[in-house]
This record gives sequence, C-alpha cells and structure tokens, in this order.
Amino acid sequence: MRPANGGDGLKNRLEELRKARGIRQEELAEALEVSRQTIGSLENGRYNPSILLAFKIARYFGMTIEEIFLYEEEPS
Amino acid sequence: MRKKTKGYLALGVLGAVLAVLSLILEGRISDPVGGMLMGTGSGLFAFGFCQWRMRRWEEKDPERMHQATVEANDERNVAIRRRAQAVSGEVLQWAVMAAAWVSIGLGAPLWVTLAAVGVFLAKSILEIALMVRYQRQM
Repeated sequence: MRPANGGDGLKNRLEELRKARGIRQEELAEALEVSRQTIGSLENGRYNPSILLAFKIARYFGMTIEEIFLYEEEPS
Repeated sequence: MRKKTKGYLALGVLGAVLAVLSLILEGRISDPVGGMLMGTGSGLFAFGFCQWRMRRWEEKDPERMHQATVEANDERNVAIRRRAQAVSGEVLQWAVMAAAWVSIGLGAPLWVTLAAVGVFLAKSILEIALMVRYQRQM
C-alpha cells in the first residue's frame, strides 16, 4: 500500500539512528511530542512526516534533514 | 483551573434542571417551549458534564491527560482523522444522491427528493467555497 500521505521514494534512517543511540520508540515519541505509533509508521515508511516534524527529528538527532530523510527519484 | 471545573459542573447541573423542568411542565407549557427546554437542557448537560469529567481527569492524572493531548494533536492522527472525515463526507454525499434516485423510484413525495438533492448541492457548494478559501490561505 502506498504511504497515506503519498511521497513514494522517501526513505529514512530513523530506526537505524534511534537504535544506534539506544532509544526506545516511546522515548523518541515523547521527545518529539508525537504518538509511539507515528514513530513506528515513520520507521517502516508507511507515513511521511510534515516538514515541521522532519525538522524536529533532525534537531533531536543533531543532523540535517537530508542526512535522515533520503529522497530517491523514481525512474520515469 | 478549579473555578473552571466548577463552572462546567454548574453548566451540567443547569442543563439537567432545564431538562427535568421540561418534563415536569409537560402539558402546562407549549410543545415548542418544552422542546426547546429539553434540547437546550440536554445539550448543556452533555457539554457541561463531559467538560467537567475531562477537567477532573486532568487534575487527578496530568500525565495521562498530557498523553491524551499528544495523541489528539499527533500529526499522523490528525491526518488520519481528516482523511476519514473527508472520505465519509464524500460517501455520504453520494449516498444522499442515491437516496434521491431511490425516492423517485419509490414514488416518495417530491419534497423528499428535493431535500436530498438540496443536501447534495449544499455540500458541493460548501466544498467549492472552502476550496476557494483554502486556496487563498495556502
């Protein structure tokens, strides 16, 4: 199924970064003020975040958005 | 905060009093007045009591309340809610149009058909008006 908010081709390193820092989904969700389900959906690519949430995530990990979210243009 | 909680409780009690009053005065006041009392009373009771319960919950368990607020404002939940509302609205609009056709087939009074078509048109017009408004805003 396509992500609910479209945007195929957007991948992220959220799960990798979270696990590398030993953070649980609940903790990340609390820090970002979103639900744990949102973190789960982001990690498995079912949901693409708003630009605001993307900034929040980037600031949380001390990285740029581009370092976390990877856009791969689909061949036409 | 406590003042607000008590205010909601007072509103709920006022609603209950109005609703009970409409039952007590049945036959002694006109039906429209009784209906108004019952409608206003029930509405006030439901609103006041729900708000009071929410405030009490907030006072007793602020952590759980904070979590509920996060869940309610969570952008994915908001997107899901809006999408569900939009799709259900669309389905309902076409169901109303189908009801208009069925009413013609069943030989229902003309006002039933016209009312159904009216609802369909009103929804379509509102949709266009909101689209124009949002296009200006965004």
